[in-house]
Amino acid sequence: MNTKFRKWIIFWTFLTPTLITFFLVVIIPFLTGIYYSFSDWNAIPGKPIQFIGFANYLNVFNDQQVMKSFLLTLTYSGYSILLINIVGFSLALLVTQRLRTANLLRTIFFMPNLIGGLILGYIWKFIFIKILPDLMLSGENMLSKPTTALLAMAIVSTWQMAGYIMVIYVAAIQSIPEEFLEASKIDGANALQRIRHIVFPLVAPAFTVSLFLTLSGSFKMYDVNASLTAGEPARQTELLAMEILSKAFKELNFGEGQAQAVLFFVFIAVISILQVYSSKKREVEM
Amino acid sequence: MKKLLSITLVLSLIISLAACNQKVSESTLENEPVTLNIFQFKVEIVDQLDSLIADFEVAYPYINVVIDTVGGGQDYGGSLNKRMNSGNEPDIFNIGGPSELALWEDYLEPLTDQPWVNNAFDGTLDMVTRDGEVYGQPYNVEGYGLIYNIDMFETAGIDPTSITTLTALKEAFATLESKKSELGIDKVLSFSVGDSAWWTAAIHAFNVPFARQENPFDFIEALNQGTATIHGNDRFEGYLNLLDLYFEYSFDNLMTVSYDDQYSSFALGKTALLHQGNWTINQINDIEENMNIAFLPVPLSDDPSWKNDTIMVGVPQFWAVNTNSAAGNKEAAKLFLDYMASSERGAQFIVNDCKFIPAFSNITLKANDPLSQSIQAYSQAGKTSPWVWMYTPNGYLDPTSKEGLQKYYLGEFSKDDYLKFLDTKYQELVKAK
Repeated sequence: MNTKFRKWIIFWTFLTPTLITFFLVVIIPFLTGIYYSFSDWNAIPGKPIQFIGFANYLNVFNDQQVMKSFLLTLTYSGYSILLINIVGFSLALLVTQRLRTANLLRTIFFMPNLIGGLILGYIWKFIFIKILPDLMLSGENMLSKPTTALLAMAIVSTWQMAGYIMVIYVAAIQSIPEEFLEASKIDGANALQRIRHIVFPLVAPAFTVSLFLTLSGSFKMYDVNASLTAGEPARQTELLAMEILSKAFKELNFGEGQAQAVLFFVFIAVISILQVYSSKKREVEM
Repeated sequence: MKKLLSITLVLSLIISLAACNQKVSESTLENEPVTLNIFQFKVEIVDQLDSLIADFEVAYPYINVVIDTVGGGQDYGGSLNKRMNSGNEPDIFNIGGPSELALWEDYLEPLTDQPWVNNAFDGTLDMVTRDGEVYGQPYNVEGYGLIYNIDMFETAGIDPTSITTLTALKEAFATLESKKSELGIDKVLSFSVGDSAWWTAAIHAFNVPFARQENPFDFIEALNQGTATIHGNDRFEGYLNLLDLYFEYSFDNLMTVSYDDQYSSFALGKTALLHQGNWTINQINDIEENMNIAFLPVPLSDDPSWKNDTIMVGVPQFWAVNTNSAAGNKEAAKLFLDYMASSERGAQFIVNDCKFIPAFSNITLKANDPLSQSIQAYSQAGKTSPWVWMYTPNGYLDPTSKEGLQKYYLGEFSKDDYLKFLDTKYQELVKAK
């Protein structure tokens, strides 16, 4: 047995299980999904499926709730991308200072990310409904009004994701050569100027990654949405992912739900590619 | 060493893959071990079911019962759908009524020849009967209305029998409101429009105007044909008046009142009334045992021809047998259903353990909780209205009715907007079928 062949064996032994799983749970459902989006499939096994052309896709554009959920998703993504990145970057700056507790703080800030979004949603629901109104001394809670409920969702996902994004920024900040900062210090740059002119440009690759992660993450948001607000009040916090599920599983209109899902995929893909492309251009080489 | 490790890893992978391929052999012979899969929706009775199953398994040692429960505000219909598509089809599952009967028609085993069919009370099998064949066994009979605290009504000097009109209900609410501190209550009524109790408003309260039509089932048929509308129907005007009254005398923020919040504030004596049904009795008893409570009717107007003195009674869900299951499993499933409906232990399970009102005449055990007794009293006096919501198209209750009601509550819908929204969506969903 030559080494090449052995390597080949090892390579495929380790890759095959993952590849099989990937095909089974991602690629194949994706392709059958595209097929179903052109049919009147109702998910009852054994019923004949009729091909109905683009009817499902036309219905998507006439559906008011889709438009509403689309705008809500944009708003929510705006909130959460801003919040997560600002908080994540600030935490990263904090834990890269010469603090005794820096390592401990990193662990603590990362910890919420280890809890699943569903559970976080339920915990925060309790906080928003039972604790915050008492602390603020007002009977109002954030989850009972559409505008504040959306913000509440963004707060919870920030709590969850900021630590994760922080880790990416920490890695980027630590890779900045010490000389750069020292040289600028000697030249008389203050802390803000150092961050603005040295740290920012040099962590730009991390911005690309973080923006991509938070952007696609918030467009796909489902778990916190389901447990924190469940689309309430009056479907005004129902983001696209939940809208698709509701179309399919509550109205039992699987073809149309699937058509929405296909459009959703195309939309996220386009946005993400555009974002990566434009951020890449702003990165500087060291 | 490294080599050994990698070989072990690869081996363990292969073994685990092979293990997945092993198929559990299904036997059709009687007294061969059978695993009976049940997929049901009532979270309130899981412990009671477990204990019934334990006794059933002693009586039939060759049957092993596996039970899964999804419900209590979770989407049972969607979960059932996923379960059926997964290939791991349950032998016994639940259907709610006519629209699900049509949906699962290829999956339902006719149960017409089962012994309990003759014992079922009149009307309890209507929703699951098609072309003379019965496809479901009723869980029980349930009812809902305004549960009231008898002691508080006595203290406040209100005669509960006088409340058969909306005006009388309004006056009673006002009286209770004026004696709040005396009664030690925070609010008059415990109600909700959202969170885990959204259905108490968007299904149960919403059902009342349907149930009070001159002929509810003709009205649904006319809606399906597009010859009747909700907007402009006087019963729905009455329903909006009822909602306004509820909103005025219930919590300040109904949007985030969970099911737990709703019944517990009543059980703790912080409200005098609760808009719920007799299924809540177990939870109420957990907090405050032996409460002195009964049902009030839900009036929509002062017109006696509207049957304003009735409470809403119906069969919530049916047990159905999967016709695609192996013969042995189907036999076991029918045995289990009959065990529940016909045996001593089954009667004990239905009446004593679950505090259900039985749907079968052979069960002579008397309901021993106040809410069931109250429902039985209404039934005997003929003062009941039906549950009609199972006849509405899929997606009409959740999300449509829920959305409309919450918007009305938030003030984003006027009365006209709300009723027109209900009409538009009804036609959309009927067409999408």
